[in-house]
Amino acid sequence: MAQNPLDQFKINRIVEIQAGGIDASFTNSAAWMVVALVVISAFMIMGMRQKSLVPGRWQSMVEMSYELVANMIKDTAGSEAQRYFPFIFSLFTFILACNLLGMIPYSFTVTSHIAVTFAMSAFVFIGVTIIGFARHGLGYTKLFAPEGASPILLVILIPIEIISYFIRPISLSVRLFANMMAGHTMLKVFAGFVISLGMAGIVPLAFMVALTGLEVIVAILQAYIFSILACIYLNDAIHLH
Amino acid sequence: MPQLEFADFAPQLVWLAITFGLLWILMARVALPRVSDVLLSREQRITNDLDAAERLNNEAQEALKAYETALAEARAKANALAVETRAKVQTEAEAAQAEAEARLAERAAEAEAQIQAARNEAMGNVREIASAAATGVVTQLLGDVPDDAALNAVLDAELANAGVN
Amino acid sequence: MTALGGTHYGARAFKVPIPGIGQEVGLDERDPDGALSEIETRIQQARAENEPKTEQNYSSAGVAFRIGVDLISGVAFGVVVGLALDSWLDTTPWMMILLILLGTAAGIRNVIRTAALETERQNRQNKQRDNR
Repeated sequence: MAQNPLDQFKINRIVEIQAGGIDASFTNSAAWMVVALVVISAFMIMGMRQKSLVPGRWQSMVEMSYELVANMIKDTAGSEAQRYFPFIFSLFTFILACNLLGMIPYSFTVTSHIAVTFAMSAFVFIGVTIIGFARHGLGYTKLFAPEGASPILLVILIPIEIISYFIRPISLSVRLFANMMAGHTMLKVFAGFVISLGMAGIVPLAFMVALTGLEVIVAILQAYIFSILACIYLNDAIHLH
Repeated sequence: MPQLEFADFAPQLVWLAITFGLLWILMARVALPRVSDVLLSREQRITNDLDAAERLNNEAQEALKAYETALAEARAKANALAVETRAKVQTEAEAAQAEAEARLAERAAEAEAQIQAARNEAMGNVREIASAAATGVVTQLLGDVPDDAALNAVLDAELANAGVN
Repeated sequence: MTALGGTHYGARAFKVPIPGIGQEVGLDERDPDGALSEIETRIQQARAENEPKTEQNYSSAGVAFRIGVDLISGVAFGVVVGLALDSWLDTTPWMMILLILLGTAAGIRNVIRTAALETERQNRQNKQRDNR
């Protein structure tokens, strides 16, 4: 195991690929993305292969995940947002799978990289902005002008609203990335203690077990927060408040 | 921090696009429609079953009502029949009793008449025997046949005294 | 909830006295109404359970996690964009100061929005619960 707790975030190229001047190498990160894809697809498709009216345990879990996301969209963005359900569902399960797979020792946490989380949040941000303008035209800019404010106040408020709109993808991506990175770094540091302390390492080991439990909760919660915020932004784009 | 290696951004983003895009397509085209199919058909089934249960329940209620009316009717009919039968039985019994009583009375009268006749006959014989005996006794005692008239008078008096006749 | 059938229903069904001559049996003595109206309640109950459920309260815990990052990213945005503008417009350090202020305000604005959304959502949820 690497001594530096940050070494676990290193990107290692497994297969070097160059495609049209772009470095598309297959890395450890890509490998775990593929694992996440396979795990989710297997979970969703194999769990439903019987399509029974009275679901077994596996099928119940699949249905539960479906209804969790469906309710989340319906409650935050209304029923008009149901057409974006497959995207939000993919987003939620992908982040959740990446977060949880990162808990496995010696694995790699895809979501601990700002490049990945920012790409996802930027995609949501751009998509939501396009949906907003497509639905409301230039009327969408009303989002930046609070109603009933005096013109002088608007001069201050509009920049604030615009900035608050543009920092959404930043806070969205930073939150996920920071949570995953902090949790995993901490786990690695304590793991180092366990090894270096020998027999006395039982104390940090117990702490690590508790911390691992907490990390699982954080992994689930962060996936949920990311997707519910995407729903809230979608709600803004659809309903203009 | 390895996260800030700009050279590593491109491969991550490329593979993110590939894997996430694939996941999106798989979920939208294959996985999610199946789940929603099952959920819909289950909801349909439950609603249908509940409707059927309610309908059957209503039918049961109606059947119960019909049963109760039928039962009440049958009971009323049975009551009427019972009353009628009892009346008929009583009349018949009374008639039979009256007939039997009449027959008995007739038979009693007949028997009485017979007894009377027998008695009268017997009484006639008594007089004869008494007369013969008295004649015999008088003849033995007096050696002389008694006077018929005197004998008859005594006999009549004695018989009247004994309460025969 | 008493189970249908078994002793409960059967005993009642067989309690019907054989109607004797001139003997009046009260209708309510059999009381099959009890069993049937029980079925009705159960059907109603099953219907209510089959209604689509409203959202469970998952996200309350998430709100606390959101607020901190909202604030920090506002400030960070101010620093980064301010520095960039300063180096481009040669206005060091004024654009950075201005944008840090604006960024902080925007961060606070996002926190307020999050809180408002959460309150609204909870109100809606409470209302739904009360309506039931």
